[in-house]
Formats: sequence, structure tokens, C-alpha cells
Amino acid sequence: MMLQKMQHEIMCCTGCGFCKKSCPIYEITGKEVDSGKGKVLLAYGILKGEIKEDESVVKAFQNCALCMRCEQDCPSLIQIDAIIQTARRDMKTMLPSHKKIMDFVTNFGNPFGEKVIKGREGGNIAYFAGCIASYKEKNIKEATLSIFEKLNIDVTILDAICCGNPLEHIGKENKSIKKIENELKKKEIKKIIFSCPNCMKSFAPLSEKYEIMHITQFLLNIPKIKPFGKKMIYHDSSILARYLGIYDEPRILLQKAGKFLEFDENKEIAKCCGSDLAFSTAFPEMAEKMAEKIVEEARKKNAVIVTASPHCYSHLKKYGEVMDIAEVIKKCLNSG
Amino acid sequence: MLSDVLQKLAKIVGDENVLSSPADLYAYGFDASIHHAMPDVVLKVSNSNQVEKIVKLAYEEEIPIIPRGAGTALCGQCIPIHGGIILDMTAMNAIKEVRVEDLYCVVEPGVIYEKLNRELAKENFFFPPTPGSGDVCTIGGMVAVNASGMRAIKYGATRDYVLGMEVVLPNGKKVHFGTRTIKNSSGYQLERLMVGSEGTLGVITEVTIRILPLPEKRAVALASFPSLEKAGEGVANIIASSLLPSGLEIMDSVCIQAVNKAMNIGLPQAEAVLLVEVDGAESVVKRDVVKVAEICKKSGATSVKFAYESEEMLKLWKGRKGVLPSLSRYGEKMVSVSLADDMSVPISNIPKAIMSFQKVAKKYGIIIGTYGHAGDGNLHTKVLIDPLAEKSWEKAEKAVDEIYKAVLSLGGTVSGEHGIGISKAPWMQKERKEMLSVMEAIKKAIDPKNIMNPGKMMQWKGSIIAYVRYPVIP
Repeated sequence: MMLQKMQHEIMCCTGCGFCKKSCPIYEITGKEVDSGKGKVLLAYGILKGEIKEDESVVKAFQNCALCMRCEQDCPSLIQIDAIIQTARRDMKTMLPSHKKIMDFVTNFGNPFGEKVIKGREGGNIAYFAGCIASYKEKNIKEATLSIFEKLNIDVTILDAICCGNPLEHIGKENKSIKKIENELKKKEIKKIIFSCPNCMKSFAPLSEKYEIMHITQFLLNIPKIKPFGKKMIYHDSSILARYLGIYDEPRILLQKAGKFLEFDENKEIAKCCGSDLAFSTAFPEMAEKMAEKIVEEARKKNAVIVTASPHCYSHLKKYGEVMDIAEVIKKCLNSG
Repeated sequence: MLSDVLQKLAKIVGDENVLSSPADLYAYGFDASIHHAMPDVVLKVSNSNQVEKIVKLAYEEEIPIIPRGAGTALCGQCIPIHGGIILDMTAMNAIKEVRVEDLYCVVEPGVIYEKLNRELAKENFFFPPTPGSGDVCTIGGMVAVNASGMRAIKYGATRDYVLGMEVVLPNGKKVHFGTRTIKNSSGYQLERLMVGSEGTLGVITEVTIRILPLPEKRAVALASFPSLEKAGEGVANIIASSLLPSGLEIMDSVCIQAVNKAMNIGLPQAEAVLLVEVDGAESVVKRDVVKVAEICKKSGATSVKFAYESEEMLKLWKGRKGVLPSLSRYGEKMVSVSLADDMSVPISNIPKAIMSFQKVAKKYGIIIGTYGHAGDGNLHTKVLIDPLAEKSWEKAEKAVDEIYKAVLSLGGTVSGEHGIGISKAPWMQKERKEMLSVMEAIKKAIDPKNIMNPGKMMQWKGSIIAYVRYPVIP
């Protein structure tokens, strides 16, 4: 059982319940098992054999957007996110929507069952658009490529195959990243740029061989651009912000495009919009309620939401006005 | 539980508020104590009418009922050791009235302490007890255990603010205790009896709470001492002076080392530190914090820092707030468990109490960090053990026994603010030997079928190393 390696970590949880304070799921359901504490202690029950895997247990571990908001409030610094993901690895049954993602990734190389879009050879800087920007929200990929073009950067576009993040989040082994690594070996790549924070998270094992960076980090030093003209509000992606620690770069970049607003809860304590693919496909109603909170605040502040994650973009656009940061930069560059 | 009872319960609260899946039952079996046991069913209630119907049914069927707020109790108060129904009160979270002109507010039991204070602050008022779990704990839970915190020295405990309440008694009858007036000499103070009753006498469905105006300003002083005795003198001298701090906290060397090791915030390498908070009008606060610093220096403090601004104050408080996480990360195999967690002694006996705890720790090869509310004599110990080591729980229980013997010999009590539940029951029974029969008689009179949170406090029998959530290796 993989949870065995988390035993000490779980036992360090004093059960104080501070993780409930801002958990977006617990806030909606008010059920103990939906909080960080509930899941951490449930994991211990599985480890000790006090409770057996059944539908309620599988759903309990999966009903979490892995946003890590709870870890900001944990006084014992418990790795709640890692415990939940490890517990998912130990579950044998899969939710139907996860089975579909798994089958698509296995058979088609992407979670949407689309024909793989091939890349394009270029210089030693590579761009990994990710599945959402490649197959669903193509405007993000187009905007990003147009920025590269405007900046005269000849990027190598990597094949749009799944980075394995959805599988990892479901609780399955990420076999994709090895395949991607083998493909990369055939190319002269030094640096890889991402639109999607989740993809960037998956590429962590390759970070010693390649410089990996988010598009907002790459564009940090672009010259002065024209103002965007509309009131913007920046939404932190949980993975980009709390997981990868990228808080400032998108803000510095947006600042160049004019003034932007912050959500009442931002940066480390930003609210999660529920966009994680594994989560939002399995718990669409919950994910909708989470997104609506973000959209409602933006609406009240009369601002367009700007995100730096295709996951957040794709999810939030169902409920309100949203733009990817690359679209904003593209517009400001073009008018410059 | 019989399926027809479950059906009746579902009719009362609605199917969606009946939780009976294995995952739900398992997760609701915890609080923040060392214990765990599973209920038969969890009901999320939304009003007192539902509570009345549920309790009436439970009374007829003789099913245990355990009211539960946020589940932050440290001694097993809401662990369903005899199964039964957990009543999750957190959805009853309305602030019904805030009447600053009458100095009270009326709330449902599921209101979170911090949220209430955020509302009250809009009117420049507050509910002062300040429990450490205030960000998440509920008012109902605070009343059930008579919770308090670092400001008790000046502002007292939850008990001191409860004016009245609505309670569903074990027979299912809804009654009102107390008043909405600041003063009340009208008969038995039954609302006070409910405070600290830990869910054994009825279900609290509404509380009327006295509120106070917020102080204009706060300031904090941090003083380090070369010995516990000197720190103790500092405490005694501050108390004996005419000023009344709003907080007076102590940390021993184990806690200081732990915080410095884990958080690297450079607390002074001292045998003890005191953190002293004063509040009130700005001019008074400025005068008092300087006075505190002078008293500390005269009492032998080697250094004193102080701050008026909230950011600087937060820096000083950071060390105190970091004690808990730092101790829980103290050693590779050690974990911090809630045992002997909140004893109280007469204020001047604090140094003696801490020194005796350190002796006990040495004797049993465990680590005990002591910190807490020196100003009101209430200490917190964190017992660190390797739960997977042979006999570690047996040793811990013996250590706890010696700790409480020391506390009682110093004229103290086993619980200052967390309550009894399971983890402190045997020692409460020793401490309050003479009143146990009265407690039993009251319990029997109000709850003849013993359905309300049975088996806790005076009813607990035997070792506390029972229903333990960690592995216990004999």
C-alpha cells in the first residue's frame, strides 16, 4: 500500500480542523469527510484496515480539487495534498468519468479522444501547449504562438500529447512523461515553455535536464506594451500559485497591460475555481458552485477575469467573462 | 440501527442530511483528541424543531445522541463510544440578533467564533474568550466545554458571557434557560449548568451571549528570562501591580527550542519567555506596555521588546502561535498527542508546575513542551511520543497520571478550558470526588435514560488508552 510511506505524516495530523476554515468543498457541503482532516484521517483508516474501499471512500478521496488551500491553514504543516493523492493511488476502483479520461489518454494520447495534433520543428526553445489549449481552447495556443512570432522567437512546438497530469490526479501512474522524455531526447531543446500549470507540474521530473517555465515567467521582461483598456481581475490558478509558487510573474505582466484588480482572497489564499479536469468531470455540480463564487465577485467588481491556466479558463468561461493572460498580452502587443 | 428508525430520521431532516456511508461514519468518528469511534448515523440538522423530533425519537428508542460542532474538542467529547446519532450542528449557523444597545447577541450553536467576532467588530464590539481554535470552533462547542483562551485573565471564559439559551432536553422538550438581561438572580442558573456539560444534559439550539466593546488599542511585550522561577516572578509581579493585562503567555525552553528549530524566527535562547498583551485606550496602552517592560526587567528579564503596531505585534506573536506546529514536527518519529493538555494551577505555582512536568518527562523518556496562559494559571502541555514504539502509550498514561498528581498537589485542576470528555475523566473523578454523586444525580434527573453523550466525564471507567485512533503496541 502506497499510503504506508505517509503513515508518519498522517499521524502528525492533530485533527485540529483548521483545514476546514477555507476548504471550498467543505464550505459547500459542510461534511466532515469533505475536509482535509476528514480525508487525511480516512486515509489512515484505509492504511490500518479499519475501513475498506467502497464507493463512498473512493468518492471521498476524489471529491477534492487538489487546490491546497487547506495547507495554508494547517498549523502542523501536514502534506494534505500528497496524502490525498497517495490515497487515490491505493484505490482500485475508478469513477466512470475517470475511466473515460484514462481510456482516452491510453488510446488517443489525450483526455478528449481527439486525433493527436503534431508539433512543428523550430529552435531550441520548445512550447508545450497542453491538451486544453490544443484541443478545446485553441485561442490560448494561437495567442501564445502569435506572441512568440511577434517577439521573433522560433519555437519548437511539441506534439499535443497528454502530459499525464489528469491520470496522476485521478490516482494513476504517470507513464506519459517517460514517453515525452524519450521524444525530447531526439530534439535539441534547452527550454520548455508552458501555457498550462498542470502540464508544468507533470514535467517536474525533467527539470534537471531542461529549463521549464510558465509563459508568464518567459514573458516577464517583454518591452512596454499598450494598455488593455478593460478592467481586469486576476484569478490565481491553484496549481500555478500554491503548487508552483508563481504569484508575482502574472501580476507583473498584467501590470504592464494596465491596472488590474485582485480578488478579496488572492495569492496564497486565493479561492479555487474547481477546474481541475479529474475533479470537474467527476463532480460537475460542485465545480460549478466553486466557479460561480469567482465569477460573482468579478461581476460585482465589473471586471474581466484573467487567468494563466487553460484549466481555469475553460471552466470559468462557462459562467462568466474570462480571458487567458496570453490573449491579453497578444492584444496589447498588437496594438503597440 | 433499525431501518425503520433511520426512515423516521430521514423524514425529519431529509434524505440528503442523513449521512450513513462508511466514509462519512468513519470521518465523523474523530475530534482533535487521541480517540476514535464510529456513530451509527450522522444527521445534519438545520433548526430546533428537527432537533426536538430527533431527540424525542431517540428517547423513545433509547439511542445515544452526541451533539457535535466543528469537532475541535481535545478530549474526546464528541466521540460516539456507544454509537448512536451524531447531531452535526454546524448548519445551524445563523446570527439571529446583534443588540449592541442591550449588550447581547443571539446565535445558533453552529456559528463559528471568528465569524461572530467579525460581525460584532462592525459595531465595535466583541465576544472575548479567544480560544486557540477560534477560526473554526463553534459557539455551541465553546459553551459545551466552557472554552476560553489567552484573554481569560482579563475577560474570563465562555461561562461569563452566557446569558441564556434554548435547549432541547433529553425527553425532546424545548426549554429556555436564563434571560436576555445582563443581570439575573431569578432561580437556579441552569444556563450555567449547561456550560461545560459536554452534551450530556441536552442539545443547545440557541445561545444568548453578552458582548463587550472592542478595546481601542493593543500592545505586546516579549520578555526573556534566565530561569522559570524568574519568569514566574515576572508573572506574579505583573499580576500584583495595578494593571490587568489582556494576555500573559509563557513558553518553556522546550517550546522555545522547538519554535527556533522549526520556524527559524530567532526567539531569544532563554529558559522561559513571557508575552504580555495590554489593551484599552491608546494612552493607557502606551503607558502600560512600558510599565510591563519595567516590571519584567526588575523581575530579572534579560531582554524585553515591545510593539504597538499590528504588524510588529504579529511578529512577536508568531513564536507563540508556532508552538503547536513546531512541537508536532519536533522529532522524526515523535508525534504530538493531546494528553494532559490544559491543567490550571494557582498563578504563583506555574514555575513549580512546569518544573515538575519536565521531571516527569525525563523519568518516562518522553518530551513535554509547556506553554500557555500564565496570567490565569492555565498551562498547555504537548506530550510527544512515538506512537509506534512498544509501551509508549502505557508510559504516556503513567506520565499523565504523575502530571495530574503534581497539578492537584499544587492546588490546581485537571482542566482549565478544554473540558473532560474521555482523556481527563479518571483525574477529574479524583479531583472532584465529593461532587461526583451530585453530578450523577443531576444527570439522572435530566437524562434518566442516559441517551445524551453517554459514557463521558463521571461515567467513564478505566484507562484512557481506549478507543485510541493511533496504533497501540502493548
